This record gives sequence, structure tokens and C-alpha cells, in this order.
Amino acid sequence: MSYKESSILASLLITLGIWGNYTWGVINLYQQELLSTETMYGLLFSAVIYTVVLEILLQTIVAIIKHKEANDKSDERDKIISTRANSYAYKILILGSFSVTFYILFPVIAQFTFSMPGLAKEYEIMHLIIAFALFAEIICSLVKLISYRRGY
Amino acid sequence: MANVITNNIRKLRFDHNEMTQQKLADVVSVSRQTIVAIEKGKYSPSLEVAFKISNVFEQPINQVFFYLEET
Repeated sequence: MSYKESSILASLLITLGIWGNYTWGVINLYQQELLSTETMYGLLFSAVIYTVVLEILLQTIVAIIKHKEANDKSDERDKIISTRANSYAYKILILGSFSVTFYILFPVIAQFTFSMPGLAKEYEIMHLIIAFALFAEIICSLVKLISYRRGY
Repeated sequence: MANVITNNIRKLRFDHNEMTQQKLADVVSVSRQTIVAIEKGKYSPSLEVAFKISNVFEQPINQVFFYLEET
């Protein structure tokens, strides 16, 4: 596995692990009727801090292990794969922006599709944006990994 | 109907004093992984890189890359 593939895989695993844990934590708090702005903040900040720390740590380890390739500049294949992955992510982000707009314009209908009792409306919107951003990031990483593995 | 671009870069490298993938990559300014992908037919390079590779081996481009139509 090349440096770029390893780097993308590390980021993907961090995203899935930490933000999956965050989602699980929010669901647990909701089920225990403990979901509030304070408890949500605690989870959110720890998720952000863990993401930053683990990204630095894992990317450093990958760069040390694959030190021969780590300093290579992106070439045309990297740019094509990146463009392809970003185009998928862009579509998801557009869908996300329409969903948030729908959520704000039609709150009565929207509450049947996405609702987080215990949190203020702005935090529900924030979670909707985070969810689409994470989904876009995951799809972007997956498309890159598949393109590097299977060819493009 | 799928179209495929193949090449004989691997053979040409060995005919040129067993040139390494890294050496070829350095000459045409791409990564070694890209040369690996081109050799395996997993990536079709741009015209610019295709011409650069042909120039390295001093061959016309149609002696390095082949366009096939799959039925």
C-alpha cells in the first residue's frame, strides 16, 4: 500500500472511529434522557480534540514508515483522483445544503425526519451540517481509496 | 464496448539497461506509483506524460502505447 493510500486510510479510520463514537454517545445520552447542550458540548469538543491529535499522530507514523514517498509531490494521477473524489463529495454537500435549507424553511415537516429532543434548534442544524460534512468526507476518502486500488 | 489503452513500458524498461520504475518516474516527473499504475493498465496517462515516456525510450508513441477496442 502506497503512502497516499495509507494516509487516506488512516484519516478514514479516524473519522469513522471518532465520529462514530460521537454519534453513539449522542444516541446513548438521548436514550438516557441526558442529552443537553452541556453534555453535547463535552462530546463534541473531545471528538474534535481526539481527531486533531490522532490525525497528527497517525499521519506522522505513516510518514515515518513510508518516508521514501512522503515527500513526493502530487502528480497528474493524484490530481485526477482527487478531483473525482471531490466531485462526489461536492454533490453530497449540495444535498446537505438543500436539506438544511428545507429544515429551516419547513420546520414542522422537518421534525419528522430529523429531530434531536433536548437540544436547541440551532444545534440540530449544526448536527445536520456535521452529518453531511462527515458523509462527504467519508465518500471522498472511499472514492480515493478505490481509485488508487482499482485504477482510474 | 470498452476501450483499453495498453503499453509495453515494462519491456522497454528492461531493454534500456533495466531501468527502474523510480528512474523512469523521476525522468517524466510523476510518482513511482503512477508508473506502476500505467504499467498495469490501471491508469491511462495524459498525452504529455505519454510523449515524455516515448521520448525516454526513443520510440514513437504508437510503439509504446496501444489503443484496443474490446468487444
